[in-house]
Amino acid sequence: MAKIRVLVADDHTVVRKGLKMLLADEDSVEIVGEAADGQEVLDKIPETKPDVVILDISMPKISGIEAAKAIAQQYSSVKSLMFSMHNNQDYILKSVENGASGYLLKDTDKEEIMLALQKVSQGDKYFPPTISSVFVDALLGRSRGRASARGNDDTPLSKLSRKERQILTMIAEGLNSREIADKLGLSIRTVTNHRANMLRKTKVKNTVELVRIAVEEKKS
Amino acid sequence: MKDETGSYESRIRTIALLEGQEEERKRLARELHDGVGQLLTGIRLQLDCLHNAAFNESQLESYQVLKELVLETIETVRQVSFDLMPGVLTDFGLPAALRLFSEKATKVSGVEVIFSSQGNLFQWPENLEIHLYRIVQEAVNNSLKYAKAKKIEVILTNNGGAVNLRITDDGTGFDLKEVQKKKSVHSGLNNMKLRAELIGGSFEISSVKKKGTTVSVQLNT
Repeated sequence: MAKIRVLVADDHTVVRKGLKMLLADEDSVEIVGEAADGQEVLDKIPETKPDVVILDISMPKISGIEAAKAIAQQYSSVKSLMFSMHNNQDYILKSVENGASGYLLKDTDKEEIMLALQKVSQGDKYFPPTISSVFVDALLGRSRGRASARGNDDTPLSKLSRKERQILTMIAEGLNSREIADKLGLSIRTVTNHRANMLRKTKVKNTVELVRIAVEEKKS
Repeated sequence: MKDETGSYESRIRTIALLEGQEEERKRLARELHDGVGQLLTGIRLQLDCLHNAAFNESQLESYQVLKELVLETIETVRQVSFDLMPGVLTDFGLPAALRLFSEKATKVSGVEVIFSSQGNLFQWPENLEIHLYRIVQEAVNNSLKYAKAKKIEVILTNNGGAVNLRITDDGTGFDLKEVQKKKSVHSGLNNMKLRAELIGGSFEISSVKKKGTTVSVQLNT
């Protein structure tokens, strides 16, 4: 049987090293590469050709969730397995919504990591029992706050990240990119990127249109 | 401007102090969660590598205890980080954070803490969300600590920009005048009021003995 090719992405060396050592004596698994942030993951996929990417959520540049989304879009044969400290609903659901095939907490033991790698590499989903209950809760609507908090999921604004919404609010208040950059402690380039991404995500022609939608949604 | 929270200058000082404190809490919470938490994960993974080692009986016992201790430490770090400043508040906003806070409070206290919300609630500046979150934290903790409540409701609504936050319990209630004398409760109430005013809102507290207490904040965004 071919080995499962695994790319490990975490901004902490100790975690990458730990995972590598833990999986080193497993004949069915081969660590084909490491990445320290979301961008590096995307850059390394073509050369390393992994079956599964183990992704941390909080990483610099591109977060694990955003990376999972990009992987699902660009490399449909590569599966994302989240490996995170975050044990609550929002991170788990957001990961799954963005194409993750599995979600493990960082205190998971080796057997469970192996099981998850096997399942996910075969094209199945894998969630440990503690996490599965999150889906049931969400289905049963115990998360009323969440549903209404995010508004109608079909609106263009629901596609924006939190940071993007924050920037959009500032644009609506009449701030320019430099002022926004100063206020948020970002570079102008990052703000400009966010603006471009907002237009791409919402498929709206220009920022004026986007601000109009934002203002209307706020009224409703 | 002079009122029970002191002179104008002292209020400005309090505001600066509060905001500095929140910044620091946020930094610490992240450092714990992403820094210490990851180091512990590293320890956990390395420990797991010894899974098949040829330990004698007492070594095996130490190994098991060590593993449990690390897991417990990871959980504690998560909890302390959450108490300082929940990552979910910064990453997903106030409703998500309040829901999680209510779930955790229910689990820890056994008292039913229910969160519900209505309207569009996702476009607020972070400091506004932090202040509202702290008000809920203080109010719910007060209810749990003093009111012997069976049920606490946290309701957040936005009606065309008019935001209303309400925390109601069915506990013992209290006499506001009597409570003002108790320093710890008094400063907690003042803190909530100060935070509400800081974000341009109005703060109200009403309590009826044997019926319960309602804390509410109203503001226009």
